[in-house]
Amino acid sequence: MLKVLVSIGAFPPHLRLDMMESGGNSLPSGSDGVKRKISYFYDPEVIKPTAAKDRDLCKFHADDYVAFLRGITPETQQDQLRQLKRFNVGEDCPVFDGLYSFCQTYAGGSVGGAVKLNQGVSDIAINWAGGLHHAKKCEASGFCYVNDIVLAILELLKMHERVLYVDIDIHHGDGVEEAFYATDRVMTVSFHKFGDYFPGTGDVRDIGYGTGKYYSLNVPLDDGIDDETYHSLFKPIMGKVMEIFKPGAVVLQCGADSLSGDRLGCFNLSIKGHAECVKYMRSFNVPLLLLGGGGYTIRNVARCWCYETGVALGIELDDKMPQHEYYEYFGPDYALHVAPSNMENKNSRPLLDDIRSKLLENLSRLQHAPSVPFQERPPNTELQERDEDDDDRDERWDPDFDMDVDRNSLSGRVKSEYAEAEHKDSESYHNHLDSRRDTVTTFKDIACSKVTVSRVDSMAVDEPFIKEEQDKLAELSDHRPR
Amino acid sequence: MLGSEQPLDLYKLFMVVKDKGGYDVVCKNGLWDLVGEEYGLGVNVGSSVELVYSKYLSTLEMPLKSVVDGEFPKCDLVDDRVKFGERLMELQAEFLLDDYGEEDVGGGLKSVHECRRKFCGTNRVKGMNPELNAAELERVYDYIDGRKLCDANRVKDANLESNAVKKVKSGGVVDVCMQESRTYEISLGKLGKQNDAVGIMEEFDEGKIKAVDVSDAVNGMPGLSDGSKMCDNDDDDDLLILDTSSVNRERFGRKRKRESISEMLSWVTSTAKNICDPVVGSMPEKSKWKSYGKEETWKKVLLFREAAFLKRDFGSDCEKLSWLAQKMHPCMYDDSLGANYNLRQRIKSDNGVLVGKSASIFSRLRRTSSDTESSTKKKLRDSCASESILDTPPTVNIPLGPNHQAEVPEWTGTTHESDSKWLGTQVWPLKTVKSRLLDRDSVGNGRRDSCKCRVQGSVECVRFHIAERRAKLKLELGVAFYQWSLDKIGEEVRRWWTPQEEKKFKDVVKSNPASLDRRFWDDIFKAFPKKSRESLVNYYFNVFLLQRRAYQNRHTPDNIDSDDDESEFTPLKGVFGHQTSKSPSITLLSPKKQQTKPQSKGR
Repeated sequence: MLKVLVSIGAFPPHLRLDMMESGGNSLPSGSDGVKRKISYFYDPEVIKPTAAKDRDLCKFHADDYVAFLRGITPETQQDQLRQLKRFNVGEDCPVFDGLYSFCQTYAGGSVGGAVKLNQGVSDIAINWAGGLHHAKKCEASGFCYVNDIVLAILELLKMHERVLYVDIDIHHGDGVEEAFYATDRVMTVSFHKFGDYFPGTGDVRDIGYGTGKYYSLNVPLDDGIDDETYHSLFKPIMGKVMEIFKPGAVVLQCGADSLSGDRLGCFNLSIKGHAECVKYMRSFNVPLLLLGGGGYTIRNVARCWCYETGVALGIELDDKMPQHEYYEYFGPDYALHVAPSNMENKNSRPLLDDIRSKLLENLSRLQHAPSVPFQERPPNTELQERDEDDDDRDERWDPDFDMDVDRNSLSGRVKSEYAEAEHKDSESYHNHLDSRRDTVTTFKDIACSKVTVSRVDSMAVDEPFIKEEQDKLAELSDHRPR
Repeated sequence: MLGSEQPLDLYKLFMVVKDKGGYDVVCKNGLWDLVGEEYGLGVNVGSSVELVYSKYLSTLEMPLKSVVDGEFPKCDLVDDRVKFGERLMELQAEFLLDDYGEEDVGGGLKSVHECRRKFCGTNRVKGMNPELNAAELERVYDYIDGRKLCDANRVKDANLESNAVKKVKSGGVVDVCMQESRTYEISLGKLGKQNDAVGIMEEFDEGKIKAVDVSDAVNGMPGLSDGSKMCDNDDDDDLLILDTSSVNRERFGRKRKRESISEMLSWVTSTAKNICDPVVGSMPEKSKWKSYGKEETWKKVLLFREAAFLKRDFGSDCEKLSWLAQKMHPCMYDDSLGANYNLRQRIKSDNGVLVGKSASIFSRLRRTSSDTESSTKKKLRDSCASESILDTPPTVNIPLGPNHQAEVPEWTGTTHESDSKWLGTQVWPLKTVKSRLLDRDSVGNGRRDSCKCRVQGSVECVRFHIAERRAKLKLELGVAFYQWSLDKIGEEVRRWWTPQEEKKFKDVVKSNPASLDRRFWDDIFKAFPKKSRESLVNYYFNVFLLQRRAYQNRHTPDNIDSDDDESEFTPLKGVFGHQTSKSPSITLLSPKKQQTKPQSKGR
């Protein structure tokens, strides 16, 4: 299984066609198998992330909270009951051995991924250990202690004016939404089960505050939603978001508890339906950070993130799972995909249509909203030129445009832009632009994506998903007896 | 509750511990066994008792203690109460589950009654309406009688308590809260209230839950609504008085309804509370309510309590409401995995009644009327959602302020370099040695349709192919293979175990079958004092479970729902994974579902 990631190869073309056409955006590849075979050589890296230090975590979190996390151990927690309560640690968020280094590691992975994207080293960075979206500034929540997503986004904001956060975990991405609720530089979009469900937030009417008004999108869904229904919302909404918000980078939280058969979740998405979100977001060719998240039926989490790693790399994995150490967990079918159940889809079409049109309406208000950043740029020549570039680039993200355009002419266009840019800008900015252009061009024309896979400790790329979940379970079982 | 399915009287436990000097003292002096004995559970149950106590009651103890000590750690206290409410909620949910399982609901509900009575006491005090309180108390009795659970002594206790509370009521306003707290501790030990000079006011409101006939126009609607958490955002300026009065009015309303459906058994409990920020100034806000009624063939009640508090950090326009009442994984903290796993589904499938409440009577009435209308439509959910989701203000506010939002700098147009330390250490591809990728074309390919093994798909066949692939992978990865600990996954873990140890492990698991809701980990940890928890858990998932699954895959494939983790906790029928790998006869069997069958999925 590991070879899926570490070796180079092509995939059987016939496997791809069905899913590819279903999106509004085509992946950067031709339709004939031969070309694709050449196209999908890639250069994945597997990185052991640098552990985040206290001061790194404090870029978002409160100092006392971080100090508390660093100090707490299962042995000492009885002495700090008040602190435990204050920071909401102890129930959903148990104290376990190595808690702090766990936080440091996954946060380091996500921030490291963001840096990779910033530097243009990678087009897609993955940290399946990250995505702990419930953590608040001064509080743990829902098994999330440190919000690696917020930290990663803050890192991306150093390089990008606007960053988009998308959350397909079944739970509302409340921690991230709250952190960026009042800013227009980050748009958060969350698709989640709403109503009598943790964490209780995520009302469609929560739209942001102050300059951040209309920069928080919430898509409340109900039990049993299937692929088709999900994407009848996901694609139009995300298409519109990309068109209007024009983010410089996208962070996608891929919580796998929205899959069918999840132990805590109640959606009915197939792995392909889930991965279609990755495919769709990838198709915009914007630097993409993929993060993990929830997921409580372990083998399906492994299936899902394995498949989505393949999606990130542009490889379609065969359904027949090759033998590997944890093969028996996937019996008796030993298949990568699992059929969704026949559970009732409680989402009524009229309601979904209402939600969609409401959200699209909110989005359209952004176009004319005074807080749209383009109009507030400081009168700096260098920056004005940057504006034009942005506008040009933005056009390419238009889904429809993207779909119809001939790839060759597009690549010519990219190159000529790049050439124009050369004599315009100051040295530093030029360098920056340089690397960006390279990235985009590469992505588009050669379809050669560099993918960085951040790993936690000694976990392998694929099997470790199980291991990681085991660790989670182990932690839980560690704490039950107390 | 303690693994023996014996209901535990939390109140009694609390009092026993209190006699001993409280949680801390008991912990420090190792008195848990004694507590267990005194309670009547027999000897050597100390750790279980401690677990139960610390899980459900220690939170309760703390605020009481601090009240007695004259401390006023406001925020913490509030949090404690919120947590306590949550615990009660969980607790009640657990008991409810018990109910489903058994015809005899009596025993399990005892403690719930106890808890509810405590809350009733709270309500009584706060309700400022003795008559109503009395009526409510009567209903409590009715209920208990009706359930034939009446315990004369308990009722007397409750009477005494309510009397004491009423006496307290006649005292001075400021002192009331303080005294109440003491009274509670003395009589029943429940959450106290406090009111300090700065003007911090907190209020317990009361929530109600009713098991009502479906024919009740307002509450009998089927369908558990989403968005029914009510919180009125309009009346910023409402003060405590208004809150109280609206609560009272609400109560009257409820009462009338009850009378109109006198056949029905009704029930009440819950608290919500207000706090306000001590720094900026007091601006008490209404509470948020959320109650789920639950009906069955019997009248049954589940209380959900949600607590909310509002803060004013900065600015004047924004209300901040943070609520903590919902748990993410309630089932993860319960011991009986099987039963609790279905908690969510049960609640949902039960067509429970959900009554959204707000401290503002106006919003409540508005809601009620819309509920009534919608009952004629097909589902509460739909109409509520379509009417309210898009057109009314959101129910839960996102807290604002420097304690909540990240600091996002203005975009200046200049980019900041990231610290290069974040680039981490590249583990693969190896920088020194050029990786030998042997089989580039195989990426993403599945297993081959057939192999030359004697019995395709047998355990031995699978083992052979795994070994084959491991060898290849090792070659490709070089040192990375070891850096990632790939040499320590799967059945390789057995290398560190002796056959005796493996047998011991198996026996311990076997003696704690999931069918009895017993968890084996405690015993495992005890049985292997020299092995780290990590290595034990490692063994379980890498070897034990794997082998059991291998057996199941080949022998009982129809009984495995591969989407259901519960299957891993089902009774083992005396067959364990070890036998799978060690018994030669088993390896001769092919899986029922042949691996060679063409796969249609994914194409």
